[in-house]
Amino acid sequence: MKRFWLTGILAGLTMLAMAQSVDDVINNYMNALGGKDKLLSIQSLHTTGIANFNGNEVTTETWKVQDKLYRSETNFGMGSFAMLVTDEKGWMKSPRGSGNFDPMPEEQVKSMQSMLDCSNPLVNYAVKGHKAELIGKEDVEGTECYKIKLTLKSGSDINYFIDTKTSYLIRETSKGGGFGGRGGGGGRGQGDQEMKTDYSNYQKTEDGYMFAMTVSRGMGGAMTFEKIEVNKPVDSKLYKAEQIFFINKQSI
Amino acid sequence: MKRNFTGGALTALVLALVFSPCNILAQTTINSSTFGMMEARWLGPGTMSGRISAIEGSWEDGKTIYVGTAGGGIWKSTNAGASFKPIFDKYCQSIGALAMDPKNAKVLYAGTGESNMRNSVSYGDGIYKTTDGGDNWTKLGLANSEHISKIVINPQQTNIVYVAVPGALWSSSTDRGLYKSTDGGKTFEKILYINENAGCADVTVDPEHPDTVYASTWEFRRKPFSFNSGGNGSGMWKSTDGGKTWKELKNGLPAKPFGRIAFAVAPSAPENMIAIVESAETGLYISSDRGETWKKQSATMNVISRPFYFSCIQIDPKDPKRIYRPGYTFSYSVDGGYSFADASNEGGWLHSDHHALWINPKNTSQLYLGTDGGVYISLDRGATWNFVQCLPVGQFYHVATDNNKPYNIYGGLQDNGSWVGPSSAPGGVSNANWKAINGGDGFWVQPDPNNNDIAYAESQGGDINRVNLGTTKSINIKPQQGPGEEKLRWNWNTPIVTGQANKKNLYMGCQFLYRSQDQGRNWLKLSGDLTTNDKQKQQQENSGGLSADNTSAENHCTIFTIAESPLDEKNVWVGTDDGNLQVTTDGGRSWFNQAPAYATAGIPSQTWVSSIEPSRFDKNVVYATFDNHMYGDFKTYLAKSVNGGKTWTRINSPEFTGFAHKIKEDLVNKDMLFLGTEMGLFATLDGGTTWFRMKNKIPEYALVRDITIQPATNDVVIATHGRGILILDDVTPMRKMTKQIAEKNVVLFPPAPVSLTMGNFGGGGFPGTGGWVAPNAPSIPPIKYYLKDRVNSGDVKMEVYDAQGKLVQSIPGTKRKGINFIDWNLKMKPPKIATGGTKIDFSGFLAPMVMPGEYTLKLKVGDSTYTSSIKLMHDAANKDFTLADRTAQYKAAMDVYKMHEQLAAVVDQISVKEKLIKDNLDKVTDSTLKHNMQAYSEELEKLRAECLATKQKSIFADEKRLREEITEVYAAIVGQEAAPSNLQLQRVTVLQQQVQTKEKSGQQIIKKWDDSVMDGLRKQGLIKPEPLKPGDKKPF
Repeated sequence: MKRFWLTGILAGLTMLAMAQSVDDVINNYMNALGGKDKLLSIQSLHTTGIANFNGNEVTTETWKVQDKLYRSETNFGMGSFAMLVTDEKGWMKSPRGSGNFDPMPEEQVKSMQSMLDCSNPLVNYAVKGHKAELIGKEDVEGTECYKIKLTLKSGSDINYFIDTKTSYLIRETSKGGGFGGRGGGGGRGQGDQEMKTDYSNYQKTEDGYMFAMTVSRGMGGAMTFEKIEVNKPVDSKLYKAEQIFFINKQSI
Repeated sequence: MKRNFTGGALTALVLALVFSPCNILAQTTINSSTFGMMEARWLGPGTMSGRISAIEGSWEDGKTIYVGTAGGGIWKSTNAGASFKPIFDKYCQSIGALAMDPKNAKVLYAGTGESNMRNSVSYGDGIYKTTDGGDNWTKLGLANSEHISKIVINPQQTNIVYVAVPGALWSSSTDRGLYKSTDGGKTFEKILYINENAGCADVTVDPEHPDTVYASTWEFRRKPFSFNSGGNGSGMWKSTDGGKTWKELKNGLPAKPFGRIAFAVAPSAPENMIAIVESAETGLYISSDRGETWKKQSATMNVISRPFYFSCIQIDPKDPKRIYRPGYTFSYSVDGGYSFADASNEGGWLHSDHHALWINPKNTSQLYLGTDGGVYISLDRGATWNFVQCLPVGQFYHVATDNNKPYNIYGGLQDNGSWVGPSSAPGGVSNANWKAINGGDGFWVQPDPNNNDIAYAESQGGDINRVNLGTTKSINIKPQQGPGEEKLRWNWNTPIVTGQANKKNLYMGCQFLYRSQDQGRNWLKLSGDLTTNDKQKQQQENSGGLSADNTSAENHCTIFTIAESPLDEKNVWVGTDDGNLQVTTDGGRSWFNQAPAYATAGIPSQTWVSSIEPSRFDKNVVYATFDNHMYGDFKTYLAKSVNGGKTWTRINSPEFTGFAHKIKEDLVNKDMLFLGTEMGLFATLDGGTTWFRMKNKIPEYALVRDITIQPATNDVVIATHGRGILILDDVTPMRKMTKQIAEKNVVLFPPAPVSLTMGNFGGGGFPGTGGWVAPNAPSIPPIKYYLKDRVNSGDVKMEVYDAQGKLVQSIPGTKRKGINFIDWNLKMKPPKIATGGTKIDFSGFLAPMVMPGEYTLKLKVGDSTYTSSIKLMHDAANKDFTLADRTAQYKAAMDVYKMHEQLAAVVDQISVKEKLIKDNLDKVTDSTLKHNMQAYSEELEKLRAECLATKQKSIFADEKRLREEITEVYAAIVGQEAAPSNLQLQRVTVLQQQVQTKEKSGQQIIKKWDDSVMDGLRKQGLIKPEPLKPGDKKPF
């Protein structure tokens, strides 16, 4: 009898361990970041960040408005790079371009529009039209993670790796030329090249939002956010495909 | 009472599990994740690839290609073969078959266990499936199949899958046969079974009537000393009801017994079939009535040669008359098999021995061929071929290194000769860096420890050469049979070993052991027959079965491993392929067979002694591995003796998988050992008590045949039989790792002194043009630290301070669990340079190297700081760059560095003033002020245009202004290991004057305009008065 009781407990423990559904994992992830409501309350984001390459600092400033705007401007001392994606179109400005904001190909715009998500495509994924699948557990550089495959409504896949202990997202991978980050999620367009983005340095902002303050993208180095502002008004000129002054860097 | 106690204990255990998980989880175990960023470099080469056992391509796009290899897993290309990536590195690496769902190109089945049943073939553990193009895999079943030769999917109902399982090679098995799944692989039913000695070799379905299934069965068996292909279990079969019932096809086929049968159905006219039937008179047969009757065709030797090994024949998807026969060479027929032509070598040699062919259904002129030497692509229906040079799946047997800087790696490849290549090279180790030094199948290659120009290499059966590495001319030095001696028996993989204690000693063995001390010019026989000399195991001339096959691969009762003690040259160990473990302690005068001793440790007798490792720390300690897979026993046998071999203790671990090939003791830490098996690399840090699988960018089930440790660099060099050479650079952190260290949250390892260098190689002129290129070992040793767990909260960075406490560099740190690396290029922060303009100026990435001295390292992990120091030394080995040169370079570099920052300050001030003007110009109502502002701005802009390039936007334009002029001399001085030249120094002086001139120009413009403009703006209320604080400097 006792053996059955013990077997029952062990079986129950096993089932507890096995019973994680994809929604359980995503709920735990959202809870680790303050909860679903908190995440859904993010309607705009303004970040400034800095990356260090052997002492050379690269600064990036981004603005996001839920479903409407993604804009980033990166200054690497002797040049700058900018990207603008709206719900309709996209542009890029780079030293290798014309010097102006050049239009993005439609396919790239489409894939990058997942960046218009201020929280993360995982948050409320079903309402957003995405599909999530729990692939299983996978070791990410020695850390046990849940692996979730999210198929965006655009058809692109993103793999999310969520730490089984902390429920923090520590890595995402996608194929093609997509960009990660909160609200990230890539798309295709550049073949089968895997894009890997690592998240760390989770911290709570003064207004109670939890963010990964460091984002690393393979050879692209690690960007650490100096400031993240949530739901602050966003200047309408940021929607225009024009060069603007950096807030903390002078640029003419 | 006892029962109650047990129950209570169990209850306590369960309660402990439930309520005290932290205590249990708090134990930090040392495993591969402990070593974090210590990841293997995949050296390749791709110049000679390995055996390819399966190729499948996408019917959907015609450019997604999957390549299954004999021992390197599955590789995927999405660009028709321009590049490949491995997609199966967590699973069994031996691939037998691949099949793509005809309706969903993302669905792929992979059968493990190659079925080209040569002596060195590996084995599998079942069938796998992916539904997302290889990103994720699920193991379906057939775990005991060992070998899977073909997978076929019903084109109309793709949940119906047929799997041909030849089954075990080395033993009888009831797991053989043809299996069918009707639920996409969730379950399988055996639908054709002959007996425990005959499995299913081939299967296909009629594309028009998919319930019509054809299969060939094959009776075969290998023993360590013989091979048989053929028997009454072999046959040709047909079912018209999806495998429920079968009839044997005989009409027109030769008299049985058969051996292996390869066959094909013409996809575009499936009443036509073609078959190669191994029998007493092996031949090519065709049928035009769906196999009911057959007619023999004449055939070339290539078409019918070696049927057990060449089991592929295919018909063009659109042209039923065009037949392809990949075999020893590549043959094709345009007349339905009536006649055959062979591929041309025009454009390059096509490697012999073919096993897989994929014809692009979207473009049937495009063929992908799998050979013993890699993948080839044809664009003209097989007439000529291009080699794919980016698949590093070579099958090494052994590896050795020399003591050059960088050191070289030597090894022999299955069917691909013997090679030498550098561990690092300018631009990375490319295919072009590897050099072929001997032909045939390659096995042992030993560099001469006393002569950098000489190596010893062999081909199968002990054909050893002394090779001049410069010219690659070789001298045959194989010992010959002496008068009155028995015929010498050389293993297919004959050991050639140089001495550990006496570097002049060169050993090799047949049934006798020989030693040479003059590079093989003269040999001394050191022993009598050290094998069992069992005559029953020496009938190799009868090997092969229906088709004779005697290539020395079955030679038996031979010496297989030799090891001289590093502590005593007279203490020599010899292991044989028939179970003898012999030792001499007097240089060969007397020998003692320790086989009975190891047998008492639970290791089967007659096992191959695959490696012996006499300890370098204790003469009485010796390790050995034993390989019994040729008797159907795949267990991992590793044993240790602490009394010179008198008694042995078996070392085992639940981690172990695969039969054992190699045990290697570390050179420094006696408790650190590496074990290579047919399914993985394992390590222990506690002398063998606990083991872990090395996953550090090493395929988890890699076929690890040999391991060596380079003494100067502390690199572990791994020979794999399917993934080429892998190098784990500098394993010093492994040596130092203890449980006590592993328990700490953060450990900053004190770095060894470092010579100041810009690296070992120059940048080269151009990037590589394809092929496999391996990254180099770091030229500057990274700074290493340990994190017990991944840092999710808080940042990690390293700050470097000089002796005066000045911060010279700050570097972001990685946060992964285990050992982390920080690469400091030994340079200070780059200068702040003038921003803006139309050209990218790279001075912002260039910094002077710091000077020799003691530097403080501060590792900041969250709120905690861990401090160590690093000693940087002048690189005395670089005779072209003296300490005086370095000092002069540093001074000049800093002069120009300051110049850049001076100019940046001028331009920053221009920008500040211009922004102020631009922001307010439209708001100004006073026309005079407006005019002054415009004039002020124009003069500032004119000055800016003199300071940096502002006009030409093209990257090919060469507009040079002062910033660009400074950068030219700055880059020249800081970017090289040399004292500045006289003209560089002269140029610095000139540019210093020009910077001062610009500063003065700025001051004059400010003086001329600024007060009046600022006053005007204040009066208009556009800026607030900002009086200077005491001590503030006025701009410029």
